[in-house]
Amino acid sequence: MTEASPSELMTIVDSRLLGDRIVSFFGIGIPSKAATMARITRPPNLILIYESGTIGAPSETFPLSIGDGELATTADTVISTMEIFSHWLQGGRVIVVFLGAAQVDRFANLNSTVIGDYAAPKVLLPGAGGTPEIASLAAETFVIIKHDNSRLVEKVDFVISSGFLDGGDSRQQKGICDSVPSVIIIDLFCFRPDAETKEMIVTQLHPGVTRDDVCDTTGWAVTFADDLFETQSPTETELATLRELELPAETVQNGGGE
Amino acid sequence: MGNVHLRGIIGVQNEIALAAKRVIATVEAVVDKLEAPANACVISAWVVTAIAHVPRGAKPDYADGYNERDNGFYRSWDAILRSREKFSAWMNQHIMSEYFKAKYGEPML
Repeated sequence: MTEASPSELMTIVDSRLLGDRIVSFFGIGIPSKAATMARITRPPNLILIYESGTIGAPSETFPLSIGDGELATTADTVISTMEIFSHWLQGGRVIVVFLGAAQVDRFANLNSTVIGDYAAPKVLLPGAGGTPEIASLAAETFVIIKHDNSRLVEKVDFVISSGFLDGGDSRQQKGICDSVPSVIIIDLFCFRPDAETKEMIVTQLHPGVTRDDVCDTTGWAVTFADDLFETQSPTETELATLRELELPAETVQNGGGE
Repeated sequence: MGNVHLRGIIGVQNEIALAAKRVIATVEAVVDKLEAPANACVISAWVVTAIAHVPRGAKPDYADGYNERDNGFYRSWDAILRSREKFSAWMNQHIMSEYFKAKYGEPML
């Protein structure tokens, strides 16, 4: 079997982290793939919630969008998006969420609004959607981002979703709930927050990645954890499961036109 | 009557309708009586300004219980939208075409 691609590796790392969680909440792409894999390869106590309103969809194939009809017909229930945010997220019933962003900084603050100055931006981005609420209210946040110097920056150009703000206890001082960004998963390595400073430090390197690779990729002087460890290579079973799951969706997608 | 029954993934459609000054609903079917269960999402006639009967109006997207989504098109749309050239070609073929004009009149863009 060929080696895992960067996206496959991220998906597999995510699925391992999700293994024993009860409820999660996520968007399309690597998060939904990781959650689907976790449901299949781990004990099936993972309940998937999509912000579109579906709760408990079995998700045996990868959906193309959070509004897929199949999610509605297979879910335990379908509720309104308002209810997802007000009753479930704000009610503290969501344990893990996944977020992506255009930029993330050393205190895990996210930006998906503008690159450059807000008043005269270099790039205008689509904006946050529900991520500020999600990042504030979920018990744990996983951030998924592909490596790139322009994405991992000392300080984001605009804070749209709060991480640890300026580090230390600044998040608590602003009155943001005690939820935390717990891991940033990158296709080369993972960051987790330092217990005191809340700076995101490198805790895990994926196979074959060196410390220099990390430094070259990151826009601040990174700290490595004392107990830095190497990610276990994807197993044949994990890779085979992931690739098998890709097939039905591709088949439908290629044959779906009229 | 003019009551509109939404089903499947309704997202924020009900909130949008109730926040709007005017509501135009395109519907798959016009029926004598809505067979809507008690907890169904029904937008009351008195907040609906107009109803247009447009079967398959959601295409290439899906309408729950009526048509499946055209996933091939759905996948190709991202690439079309990223390129001005491809987008214009698509618009010319599907929206600005003689067929479309003959059927629906000059497009209002």
